[in-house]
Amino acid sequence: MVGVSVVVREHRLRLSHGLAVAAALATVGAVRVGRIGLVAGLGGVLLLATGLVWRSRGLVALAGVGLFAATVLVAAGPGTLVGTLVGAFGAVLAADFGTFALGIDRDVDSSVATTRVEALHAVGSLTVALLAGGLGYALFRSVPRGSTLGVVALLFAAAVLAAVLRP
Amino acid sequence: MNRRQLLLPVGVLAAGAGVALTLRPGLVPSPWLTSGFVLGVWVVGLLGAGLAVLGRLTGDDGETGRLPTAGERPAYRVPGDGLADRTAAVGASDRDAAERDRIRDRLRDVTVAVLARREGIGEADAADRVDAGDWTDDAAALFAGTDSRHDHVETGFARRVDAVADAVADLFETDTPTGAAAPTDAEDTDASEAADGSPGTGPESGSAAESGTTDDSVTLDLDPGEELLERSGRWRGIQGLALAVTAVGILVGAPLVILTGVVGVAFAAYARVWDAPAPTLAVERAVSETDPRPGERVEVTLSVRNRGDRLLPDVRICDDVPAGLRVVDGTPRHTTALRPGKTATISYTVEAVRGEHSFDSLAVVTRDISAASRRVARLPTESATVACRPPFGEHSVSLGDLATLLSGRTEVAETGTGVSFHSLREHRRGDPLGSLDWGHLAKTGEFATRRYDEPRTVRVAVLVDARAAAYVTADERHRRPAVDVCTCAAGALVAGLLDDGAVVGLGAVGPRPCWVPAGNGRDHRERLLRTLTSHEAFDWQPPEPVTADAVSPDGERTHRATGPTARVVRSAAASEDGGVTMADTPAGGRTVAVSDGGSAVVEGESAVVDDASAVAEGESGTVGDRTAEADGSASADQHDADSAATAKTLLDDLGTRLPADAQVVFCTPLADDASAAVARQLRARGHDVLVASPDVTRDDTPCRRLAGVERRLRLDGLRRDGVAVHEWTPPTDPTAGAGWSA
Repeated sequence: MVGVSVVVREHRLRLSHGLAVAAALATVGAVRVGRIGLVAGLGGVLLLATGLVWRSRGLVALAGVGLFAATVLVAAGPGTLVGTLVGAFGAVLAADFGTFALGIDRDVDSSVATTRVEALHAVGSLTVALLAGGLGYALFRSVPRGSTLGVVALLFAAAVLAAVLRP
Repeated sequence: MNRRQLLLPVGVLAAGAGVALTLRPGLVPSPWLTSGFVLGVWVVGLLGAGLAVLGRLTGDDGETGRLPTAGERPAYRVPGDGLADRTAAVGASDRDAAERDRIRDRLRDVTVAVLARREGIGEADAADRVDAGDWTDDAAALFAGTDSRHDHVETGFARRVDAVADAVADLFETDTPTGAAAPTDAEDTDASEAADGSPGTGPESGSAAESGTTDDSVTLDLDPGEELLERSGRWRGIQGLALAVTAVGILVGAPLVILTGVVGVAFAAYARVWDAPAPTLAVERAVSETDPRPGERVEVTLSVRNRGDRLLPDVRICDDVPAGLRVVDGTPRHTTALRPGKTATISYTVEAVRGEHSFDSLAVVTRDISAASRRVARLPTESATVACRPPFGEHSVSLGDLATLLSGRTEVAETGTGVSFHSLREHRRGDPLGSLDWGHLAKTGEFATRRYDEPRTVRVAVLVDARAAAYVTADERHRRPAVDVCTCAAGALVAGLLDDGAVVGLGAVGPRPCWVPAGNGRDHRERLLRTLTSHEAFDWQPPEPVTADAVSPDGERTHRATGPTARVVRSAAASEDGGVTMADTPAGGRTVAVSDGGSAVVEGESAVVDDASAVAEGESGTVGDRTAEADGSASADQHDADSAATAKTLLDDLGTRLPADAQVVFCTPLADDASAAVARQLRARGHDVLVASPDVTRDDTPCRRLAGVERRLRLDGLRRDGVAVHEWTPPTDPTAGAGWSA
């Protein structure tokens, strides 16, 4: 007689788990110059870890928001240009990698190797972050002081046009 | 004009203004204009923040994009769970008073029946005692009486239902009936084992709860060849976030904060660049064994090749494992990235159980690299079939065993051409000379003709209860439905009866009709056993639940099943031994072969078959206890009438096909009153009936205990009505056969 095993979902440490935590830590490193930002950032990391362990997409997304808020707090005060860009993109990437990892956890068993899929997704997101970060850096450096309205208008235009890309 | 057409000029204008203001910061001389612009950005930012929050709340990677689960049998219910669910769902408000009364009526009927049985009194007297409330000391259980009906707020209902169920079960189990028919010794043994849940044969107590298994199955509601493109909502709200931080940046006057808006814009654009690629996959599947024995492991190897010219950055596949098979090693779900021409191979192992299992499709979900878009599809594949026939003959029940149960039922009053002398009668013109009794002529001088007993072989029709209500199980871990137990028992009966020379027919009582006319011989035996193995009537997937009841003009209730399983085309194929074998084919569905491959279809007709006895219980699609659970509002008499009408509907077609002189063995778990009514209807039509009933009840919750009591009451009722009953506790492992022993 063949025994039927009960399916017990085991945790498997995936590439995306590690990348999510790394992105979150990068954000914390970027915002460490501000005390409040540092506290918020550490809280975000804690939330992220909890979300990954509990497999809660909501917690992971909330962690991303927390990390992003920490970046905004620091950017409004003692933040640097590079630190702000790293913090902001790190926050979004942490949420992106984290939720992607949870989606894979949900869809396939722990025995399945998914490194290629995760690596491709990570490369895509990192590329976007680097390109956009570089563009933001260049824009910030090249725009003369006092033309904030222009930057805002450009951002607004970009947001609207992004929405137009696809329904 | 749609939203995109509106937004496009707005975006272009904003971009132009942004470029102009960046190059010429002093282009806007009026401070009012600047303030108005800032205010506008603020409003948009707040809206964006709202959208961001809303998007995160609703834009989850929803259920439709989930890879379906596979490799587990359907989550059949345990008898009594339907009542527990109804009780849990009923509220305390006056709006649910009618539902509470329906449940209360059901409890009252059972209580009255058990009390009448225990005390040896009439049901009217028992009803009076129940209404008076002096049948139990448990105050919580007293509400079974009609006097306790409420049409206002009623709290603690579920607790009191449990109390009544426990009290009734206790009363039943301490019962030593004097008036009721006593079960045989064998039955007593079986029943006590079932109640004790003894190891080896009984249900494994608490296995599901202790192992923490839950039914989190996900299904993909697509037919082979269909696909669905959708946005995952993964990045929803990111634009709102960008606008919101921009507004914050203006408020605090920090350009760096405004810069963080770049992040939102960048990923919003990223999420909208691509659609999920079409699943251009070539699929090959191989099985290690096509005709395994029950319990044997079969390895399924699946090769998926990207035959398109685009990279598939995220392709998730799930093989459609047929309903009865359980994956015991490996996994049928996989995720990978596939370059053009590349192949991914997965393998998993299933445990073979009775049935003809066809692997003919595959669920696929592809995503673009940002995972913002997904394409969900069910791909048809070349069919690979695993046909597992249990060794029915090894567990066969001999005619002698059966005849013991059906004793005195095979005598024949006919005379004919046998060898056993019966009597003499006067000689008539045309009587064969050989039948002349010369001794009688010599003694009396009168011609007389010898008469002999007519040799007549026993005709038996084996019927299997295959209604949705029979898809119940005693073990939520192994998930073996009673229909499988009954089918294996029918196989053992068929094999044994045919070995003993009986003429045997086979049928299914349910919405997926099946009838193989009575016959004998090697070909017929093969046909019957193949039918039990592969006919869809005995499938592991329950039939479609009933979705609507209708009342005919003359007041008779009919219950019409919908969906593809309800509609069948019946064809007749000539069998080799001159009989006619009925085969049932779902209209528009796959062919279900019953007769031999060479037999020709000679006629066809369409019919809509009703399964009046079933109603869905919960989202698993498993059905049970319809008559007992859904019609609690009716009085006991009305309830019986409904069950009888249900049985009549079920037998409308099948009953006309049964040979008039056939004995009937009806295999049923007796999970509802309709099954008992079917047995009574068969007896009323003149058949000798034996009910073979596996016990698939459990006693680990009050409602399950109550369901067990109801089943025992049905058994006793059948015995009182002259129906022979044989019950046993089947093995929970589907590879172990029926566990039948006569």
